[in-house]
Amino acid sequence: MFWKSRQTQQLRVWIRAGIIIDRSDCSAYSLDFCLCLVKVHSSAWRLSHVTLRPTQLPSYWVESFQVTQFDIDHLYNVLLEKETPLNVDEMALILVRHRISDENETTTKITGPDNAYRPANHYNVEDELILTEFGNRLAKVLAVRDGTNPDYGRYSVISVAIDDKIIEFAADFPGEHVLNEKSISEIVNDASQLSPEELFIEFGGEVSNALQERLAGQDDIVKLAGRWFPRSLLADVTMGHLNLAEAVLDMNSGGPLETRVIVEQIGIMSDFNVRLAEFSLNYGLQRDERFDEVGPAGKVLWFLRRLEPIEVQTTPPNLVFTPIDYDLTLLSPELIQLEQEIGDEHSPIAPPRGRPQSATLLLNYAHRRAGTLPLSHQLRQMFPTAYEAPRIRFMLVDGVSGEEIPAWVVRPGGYVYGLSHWFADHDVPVGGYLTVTRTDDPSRVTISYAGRKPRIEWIRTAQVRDNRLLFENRKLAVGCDFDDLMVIDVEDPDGMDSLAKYYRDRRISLDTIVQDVCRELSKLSQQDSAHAKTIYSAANLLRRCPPGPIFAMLSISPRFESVGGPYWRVSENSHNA
Amino acid sequence: MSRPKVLASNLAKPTFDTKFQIDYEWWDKSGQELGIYLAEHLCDNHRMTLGQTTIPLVVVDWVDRQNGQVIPQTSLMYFLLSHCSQRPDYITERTALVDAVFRVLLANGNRPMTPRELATISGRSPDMILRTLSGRTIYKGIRPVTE
Repeated sequence: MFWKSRQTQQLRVWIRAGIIIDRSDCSAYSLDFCLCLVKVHSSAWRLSHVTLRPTQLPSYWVESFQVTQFDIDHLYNVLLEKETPLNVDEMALILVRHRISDENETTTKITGPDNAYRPANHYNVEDELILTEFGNRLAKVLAVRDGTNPDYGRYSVISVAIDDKIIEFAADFPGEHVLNEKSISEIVNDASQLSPEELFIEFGGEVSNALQERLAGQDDIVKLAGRWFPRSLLADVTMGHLNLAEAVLDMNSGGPLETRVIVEQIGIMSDFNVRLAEFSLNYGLQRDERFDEVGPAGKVLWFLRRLEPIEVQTTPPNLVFTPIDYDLTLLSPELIQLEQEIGDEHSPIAPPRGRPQSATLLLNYAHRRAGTLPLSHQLRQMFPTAYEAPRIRFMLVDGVSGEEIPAWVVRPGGYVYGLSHWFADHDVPVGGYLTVTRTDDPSRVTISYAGRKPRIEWIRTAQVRDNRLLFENRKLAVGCDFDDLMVIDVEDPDGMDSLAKYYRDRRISLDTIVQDVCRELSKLSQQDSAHAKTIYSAANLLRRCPPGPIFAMLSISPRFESVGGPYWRVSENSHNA
Repeated sequence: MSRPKVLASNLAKPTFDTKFQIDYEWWDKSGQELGIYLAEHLCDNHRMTLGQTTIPLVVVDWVDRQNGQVIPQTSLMYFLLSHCSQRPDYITERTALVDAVFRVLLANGNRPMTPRELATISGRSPDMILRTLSGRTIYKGIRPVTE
């Protein structure tokens, strides 16, 4: 499909560029056949037509296009003139226009002045003419003779001297010749040619990619939030300006503030173009450790780093995960399916195709305790992203009340922070279902939980006794739909934190943790076993770990035995293993 | 035919902006028959016609399609330039790369052309053309030239 669409585009371009001269060829046949015609004819047609306007050819942009130093110089001049940072697409359009304008100039030179040599003209001895194809040389006709080739009809041959050599040219030429046909208005304003804007629509992607690559290698050009500007042309931002910016942010609880607001409040660079002033200040702020750029893609927002929540600056201990090597092939299709259902941010699961409008997730203990959401492959597409910023400030919106919750996407840690109060207010349990929905504004994302009328249910409850993790079923009122296999109520979260720290400090292995929780969970079951999902949920009370390593351990370790399906128990011989 | 100035390939590495041209002197020195190779580029009709001894190899005016210059050509070259090179099957996807480049240069009156220009017309990749023509081996006399 893609191939067809691309070929169709090419065909359209070629037809519009005049490569298929006899358009009746196309009318009687299918598009694919016409395409074959173009392919077969193109080389020959190009010989006579394309040299005139190479930019009309797809191959010029797709195969041959390279950004030259002349292009870069031109872009620098434009940036200097406009005093406005531009994004790569804006620059690509400028470049396409520049190439076309350059070509027009060359075409004009080719077309030449009034006394330019044209084969159709009559010349006498002593006449002067300008040879546009020979660097606009002025030449004088030295002799005239009759032409000798009957194929051309009646014509003359004139002799002129160039560099002491006698060269002959056709005159009174009755046949078609490109020098007769050329005229500025015909060539430059030919309506059948694609305009720079149309060429940009067709091939802008190729130009942008090549430009992006070239600009990345330029030392003197700075990229900020997707826009580029020469470093040497930036307005000076002094330490005084930066100190004032810090004060402004401090007065606004650290931010976030748009650069425009900071510039206005500081009252600096009023004699500069607004966008250049903002870009220059952005550059200054970016180089100063005190400031953090936290805006989503296309928007620059600044925050004072020292006033950012500690959970944004440093990954909360519950969420710290040290990668564990394991053999992915050990997981049965059923376990792989379970891992996908859980949607852990550290699971090596391919991101879904497309960009869904909403996604449902299961809340595990580590995120419930930290007040965060996992930035799993699925959820990553729901939250705002940025060109470079590792932390992005945005708004979560309660799907029921409409309440706005300031939140942060922390890309390095793989989580979204800001939900501690919201989880507590709505009593969302571990294993509860949450739904995240995108809005038209990428910096606002709706969150909701599967709320219902509270009812008393038997809930797995975790307790800490003498540095040991124990479980029992208790009757609790729950007002939210949850996954029965994942749900765990933690009686004393602070005590659980202490126990997790105790395990961390003593470097107690994941193997031991999984064994302990599996043994304790099995006590709640009449079959003396625990579901893999429950084991994952419980193990995460003490140590952050995605399902993969836990499931692989259950599958391969002699300490565990499968009792059918995804249910496991600690092997009776485990103490010998 | 004008003799191009040959650039010593060991002095300057050709780039995408280097112009190439057919060096007819190379053909003189190589001992290969240019006429036989040129005949390979004729269309079927002209190959048959020129193969008959009754058609003399006369010299006629040929008008360059780009600049109007009149250049005396043998009938073989004349048919190549005025007819065969205008046919749609003069350069196809099946034409070997070196032959395709040779045919482009031939059809353009041996006007020096860069790999990019040659690629645009021959439908081959400029990179492949440059790599082929900038090696130690000179193919069919196609060499870099100085202006």
